[in-house]
Amino acid sequence: MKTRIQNKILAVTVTSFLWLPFLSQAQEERPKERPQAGNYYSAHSYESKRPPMPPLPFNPFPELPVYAIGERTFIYDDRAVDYEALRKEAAERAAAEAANQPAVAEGGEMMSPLESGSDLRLKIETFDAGVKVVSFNTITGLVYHLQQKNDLNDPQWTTIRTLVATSTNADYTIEDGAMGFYRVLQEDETIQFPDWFDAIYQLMEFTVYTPVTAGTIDLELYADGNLIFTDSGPIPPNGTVRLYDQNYDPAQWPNTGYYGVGEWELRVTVTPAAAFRGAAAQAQRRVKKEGRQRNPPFTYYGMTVEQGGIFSTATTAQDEVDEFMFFYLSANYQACDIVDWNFNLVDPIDRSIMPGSATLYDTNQWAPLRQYVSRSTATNTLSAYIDYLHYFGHGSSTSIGSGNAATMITLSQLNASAFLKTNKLTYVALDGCRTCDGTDFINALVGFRKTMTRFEFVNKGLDPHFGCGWNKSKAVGWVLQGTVNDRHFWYWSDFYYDLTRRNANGFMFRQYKQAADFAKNPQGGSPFHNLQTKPDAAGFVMVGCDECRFDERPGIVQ
Amino acid sequence: MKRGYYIVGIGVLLVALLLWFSRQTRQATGVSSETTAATSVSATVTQSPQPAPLGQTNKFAIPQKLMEELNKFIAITQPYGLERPITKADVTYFTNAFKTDMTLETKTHLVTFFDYRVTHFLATYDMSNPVTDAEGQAEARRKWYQATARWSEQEALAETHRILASLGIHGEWTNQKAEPFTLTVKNPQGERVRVTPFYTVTLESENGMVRAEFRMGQSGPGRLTEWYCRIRPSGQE
Repeated sequence: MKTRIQNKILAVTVTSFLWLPFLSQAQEERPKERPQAGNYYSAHSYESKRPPMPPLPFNPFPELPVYAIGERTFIYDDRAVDYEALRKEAAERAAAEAANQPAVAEGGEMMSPLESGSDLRLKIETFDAGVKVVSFNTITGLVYHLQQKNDLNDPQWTTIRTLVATSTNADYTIEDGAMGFYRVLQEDETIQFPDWFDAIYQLMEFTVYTPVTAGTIDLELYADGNLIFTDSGPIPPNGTVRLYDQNYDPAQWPNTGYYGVGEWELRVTVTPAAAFRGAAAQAQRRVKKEGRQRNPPFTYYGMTVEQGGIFSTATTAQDEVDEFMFFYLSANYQACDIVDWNFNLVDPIDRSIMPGSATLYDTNQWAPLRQYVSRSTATNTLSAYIDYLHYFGHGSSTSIGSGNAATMITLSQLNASAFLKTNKLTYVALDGCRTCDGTDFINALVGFRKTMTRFEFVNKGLDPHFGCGWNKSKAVGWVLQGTVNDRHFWYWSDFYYDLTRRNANGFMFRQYKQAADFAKNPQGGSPFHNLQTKPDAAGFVMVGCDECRFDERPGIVQ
Repeated sequence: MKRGYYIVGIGVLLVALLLWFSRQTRQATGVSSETTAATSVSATVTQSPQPAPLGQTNKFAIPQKLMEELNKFIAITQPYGLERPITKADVTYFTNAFKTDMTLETKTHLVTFFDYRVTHFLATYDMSNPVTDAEGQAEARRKWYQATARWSEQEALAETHRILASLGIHGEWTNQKAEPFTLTVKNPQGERVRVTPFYTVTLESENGMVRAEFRMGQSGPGRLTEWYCRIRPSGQE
């Protein structure tokens, strides 16, 4: 069966390479040659002081002077080019072509920014040392391939991530620190995956939509590489086919059980009966979902930890923060058992555990914490792992902690854990700067990049997971001029106070989002202060089931 | 402040009952594909109240003003399963442990107040996330197949705004959404039926959020099963 997949290739290549210094040196140079291959920079872009255009792999204006500024690196003198007129001309030409040939999918050639009539934009932001966040706008339900190569003259691109868009934007964090070129490919709309979630917990489910109005659709479902189900038939009138496990009973959620499958793959083939938007051939997609949370623990364990050594010993700040942290630990004890660095149960009534069993000083504490969080051992058979974590200390968009990798938990360390890919933590609160600025780090821990309603969790058979932290709009200032910034810590105190409220029978009844609402607008109702509102709440980010309760997870009384 | 933390810390250290749910591995033997379509079935909606301990309740401590505010709220919202006002005799639990933040419970409902305003109202066993254990939750869900009445997101949103206006609460909403909870469940005959047992409405503003959950019965509009709003009425900010 010959299958043709039509790709809409977006050829916006971007690099994090800083090129401005080269450009300033090159302006005084004489033309040397007319090179044939390399990176070509625009002089116009530099002079106009706008954000620099990415280099092109070819010279877009062979008739203009070109200057060599390094090994296969050039600058073309386009300062006299009227870009506005060119854009207008290109738009008119595209409109005329579209009028003559409305149903043809875009080709696969690389386009310069001038030629790109698409709305798809790829952006790279550099954050911490060596960390880049590649983001691009998306259309919900379509398939995207993010590709990379380190040498622009290399004809091969390597796909580093394939995803189905679930919103209007996607981002991907890269920690390699090396120069790279990136592009994103957008598959055409023939086969779409609305209502997508990239993992399967308690319900195997795929929803496929095609706008093709007549033809056939074929489905092949693979579990860990084994074909377990096939089906084919005419495309239904509404274009939607849902493949799911009919044994799933939402009444049993979240205790329906798991499949023991690590990876699910669905292969979809749509064969139009007649030409569809210019394409009469078949379209095929292969999409994958991870199987997750296959080993719910008998008892849920957790840790509430703070980074040590960040306060001057000359102040009482440490004691005051310990007091706050003890309260947070007590609150977490409402949902799980608390363990120490040796994974021994600790008595939360014993106030001396702060800092003894809950302060991160050096590798003696960071190493076990990293192991309990990432569940990484040589065989990935570790049974000592935690599901609840509250962390206070330094942070970034890709790590918590500070110093070197031994006294941090980094995104790459989490991604290296095979066990963590399928067994996420139930609850993670990261009280550090920018810990939720970007979604990769919190997603690596709890498996979600955004909030979803509890109804979605029930309908999709997802395990309850929740994560929270701060984005870059929040400066996590815990000490102001030597004095503890009580308002920051009160936010968490109020959050936990409200989150752990119980009824007369001992059942919690507040949702995460309700607790966050109380913490933001206590209106004088806090037992700790009389504030009406707390501006310190700005920048608080939640992901996962924000309508779930603190102790809501598989196999446990709620 | 430390004393407050200590009291709160001890106060909330209730022992959570841990139940081990037997780990099970399912095979995807029931895989099937179908086009999305809704089905419905008719049945009767009932409640399943469970008793709460009476010993902790000092009914004489319940301010009369609190009861008046509660019944005013009930008259406005006409919650699911409440056809008459709540009296002190119905109250199974009451506490005013912290400031004016009070909690009152009956066999079927749980209410929190702040400054004598209802801030959180829950139909304990009839809401989508019942305040009970896993068995009680599963039992409640088995009745979802009975939700056969028709409603709409627009009607849910309008009802929420009607309640807000009646309570004197006005806000500059930055986000408003109403969502139906539609799913496939099994009826007692083992047939799979498509129902929409709940509609939820969420409103957000700088001053706080509003959450309203409505439950569908066999007939009539959705009735309130959860209300959360800490925003003060106009004139009381």
